[in-house]
Amino acid sequence: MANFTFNVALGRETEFHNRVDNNDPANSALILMVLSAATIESDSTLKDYDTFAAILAISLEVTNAGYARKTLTDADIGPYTVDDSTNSITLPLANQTFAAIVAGNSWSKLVIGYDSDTTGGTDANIVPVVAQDLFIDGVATVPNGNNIIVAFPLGYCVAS
Amino acid sequence: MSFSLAQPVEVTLTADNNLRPEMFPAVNVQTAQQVGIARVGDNQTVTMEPSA
Repeated sequence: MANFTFNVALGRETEFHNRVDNNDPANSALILMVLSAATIESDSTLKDYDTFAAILAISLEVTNAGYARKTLTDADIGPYTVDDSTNSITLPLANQTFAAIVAGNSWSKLVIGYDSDTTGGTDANIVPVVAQDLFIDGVATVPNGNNIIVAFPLGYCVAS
Repeated sequence: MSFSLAQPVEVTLTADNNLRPEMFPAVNVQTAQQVGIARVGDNQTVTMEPSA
């Protein structure tokens, strides 16, 4: 298990982020989805998928009470930053709080995707961009009724 | 039958009570988080490494 960029998004992470940040198109958004530890395919298999729908054909999204996907629009994210000393671009993301998540599924992986049109979009239209392990001390996060805060102190993606 | 005290009662322990230190073993205090007990209001924070 590790963090990775989906093949379909290689080289496009920054532009997807920039699209949402600039509200262009107006209804674009980043979508945060959590995959369950109960049924999840390997990283090497997951990264081949081009849509959320393809991911969920086998792997399962968590169903804990209190959970809902997060939809982040231009108001929710900041611009990417260019670091000329490290020759890289960082995509920032504020801490994301999933409030009062009741026990049930263990949380294995967070998938951040790009939806160009949240008004008409379906899972078949959401492009997965990056996936990250939701591990605490090396194991999948076990919800216990409290808030789960996902922190991105170094950003959610660094392109170089 | 019940009693209520209008004033706090102060109890002074002296050597005459035969209280010895070994009667009070050291107490190892752990937080609920250290022993894995979730309390209401404890956040579970997952710190992410950026994808590259």
